[in-house]
Amino acid sequence: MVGLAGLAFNASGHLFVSSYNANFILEFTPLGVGSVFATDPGDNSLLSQTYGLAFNGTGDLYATNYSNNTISVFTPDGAGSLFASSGLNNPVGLAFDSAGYLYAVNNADSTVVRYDSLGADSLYGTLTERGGSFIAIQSAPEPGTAALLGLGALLLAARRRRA
Amino acid sequence: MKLEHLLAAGFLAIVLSINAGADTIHVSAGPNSIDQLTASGPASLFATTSNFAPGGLALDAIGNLYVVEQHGFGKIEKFTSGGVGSTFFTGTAEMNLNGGEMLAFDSAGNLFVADYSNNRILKFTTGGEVSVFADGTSGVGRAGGTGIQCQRTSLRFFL
Repeated sequence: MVGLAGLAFNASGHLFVSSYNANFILEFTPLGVGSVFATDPGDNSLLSQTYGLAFNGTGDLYATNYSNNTISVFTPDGAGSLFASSGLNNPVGLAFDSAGYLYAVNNADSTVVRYDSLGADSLYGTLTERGGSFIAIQSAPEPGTAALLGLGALLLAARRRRA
Repeated sequence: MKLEHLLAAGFLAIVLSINAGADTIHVSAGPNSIDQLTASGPASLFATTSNFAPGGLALDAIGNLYVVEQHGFGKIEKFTSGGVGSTFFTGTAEMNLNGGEMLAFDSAGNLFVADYSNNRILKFTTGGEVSVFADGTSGVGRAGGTGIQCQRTSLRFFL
């Protein structure tokens, strides 16, 4: 059993899937044609019970490694390296916020850790219950967008009033 | 347009900019809770699932949060941004999950689920069709879900 666990779409709509038990990441086209995107070199240094996946804004893929408490990063061509090994305690879920910070959920101690783009970690929060797993981040509306929408609505109202 | 309208528009724009707010972070935690976190305080309970340990979470384009049952038959529930829940999918003998892990939406609004112990990816369209998107049993992935216990596009499970 390969144990498919993590999912993430890149900007081209390809689906990336991590295998928890077999230490590889698959890539599927929108039509479902699969190929191997990345494998572990064989020493569990890059993929080791890989769980959560998340893409940053420039198309690099980040992956949590549950058993060895690391986060790996892969370039779009599949070249991997270690991103972080600090602050992790059986990490599962992974997600970026709109400012580009990366968040990982630690299953063993139910904490959420935040990383800057250089991999420096800080404790972001502790969950109300034990057994934290996955994470989803709702982006705040862009300030500019909200302001433009407000202005548009007001202009419309003013125009209606004059008509 | 009168001056007071322009001034009012400018004021509104400033207020909206200030109130744009921060990202909202949701995290699944056992035994059946989904927490909400902000930068400015401790985690708080956002919603409670119907008696199952929450696994993967994903947000659709309008801010509804989907959560899958991590163990068992693979129920999927949906919560509005206000925390009101409803059932999105319930597994049957013909089509079920065996350990729902991560969820993800594509840009067209289709929901994908990592079906851990069945070694496959399920796809739920916005129109209510569930199918096997890919099968990972071979270790390299195969398209189409051939040989799996449910058919590609013929089942409907939505409420």
